Amino acid sequence: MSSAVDATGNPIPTSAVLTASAKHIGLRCMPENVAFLKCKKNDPNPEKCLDKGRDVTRCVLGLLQDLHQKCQKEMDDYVGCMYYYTNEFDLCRKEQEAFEKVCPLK
Amino acid sequence: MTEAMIRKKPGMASVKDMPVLQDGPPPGGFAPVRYARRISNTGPSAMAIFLTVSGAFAWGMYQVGQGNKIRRALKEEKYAARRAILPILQAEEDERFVSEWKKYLDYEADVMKDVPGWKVGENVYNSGRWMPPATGELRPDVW
Repeated sequence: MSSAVDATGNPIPTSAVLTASAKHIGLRCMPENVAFLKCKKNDPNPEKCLDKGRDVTRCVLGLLQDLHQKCQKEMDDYVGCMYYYTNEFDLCRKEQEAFEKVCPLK
Repeated sequence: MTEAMIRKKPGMASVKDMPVLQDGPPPGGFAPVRYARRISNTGPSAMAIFLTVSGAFAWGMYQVGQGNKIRRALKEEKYAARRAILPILQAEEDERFVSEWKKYLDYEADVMKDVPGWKVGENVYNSGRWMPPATGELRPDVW
């Protein structure tokens, strides 16, 4: 299963897709991530942090959709390379550079 | 008997008077053979050798440090990616767990509805912290 999108064209958050967009997620969804982790540190009960978890999921899935719309081919290439090399950054430098040229990290 | 017939000297009285047949040096002797040591004292001095070896060692250790720096950067990249995607993975797992737990509590309420004084769900530890369920019943595919 190496296609990054499901039937409606949204990117599926598989490990290859998530690792490929990890730098973007770390930059643009940082507030939601930090809030969720703080909530978890306070109380590990899953029921208490459900709303923050939904914030995180919404942010990340929206970000993936945004990236996929802006630079579809480069993202597909990068995700395919990640899938082939099981999420090794060092073996996919070419695709990473192409991806970050079209969808910059800002 | 045969030796005597080969090496005989005319007029010898017994075998003990035969001329001696020996392997010996050629006439005039052998040429002289040099056996004295000739180890020259030229070449790099001790200090030069020591400095060269120390220099090579130091350069090698510097390269080791540079390589470690590069490897550490690669590992940091990998760990930063993992840290970035940890929250979404945990959030998805939380959603799945909460729905499974609700189903489990309903099942427990159904099973124990005739037992007097049974508080359904959450009769786990007394510390006040939330602990994940420990029996493995909720994930039979994993356990």
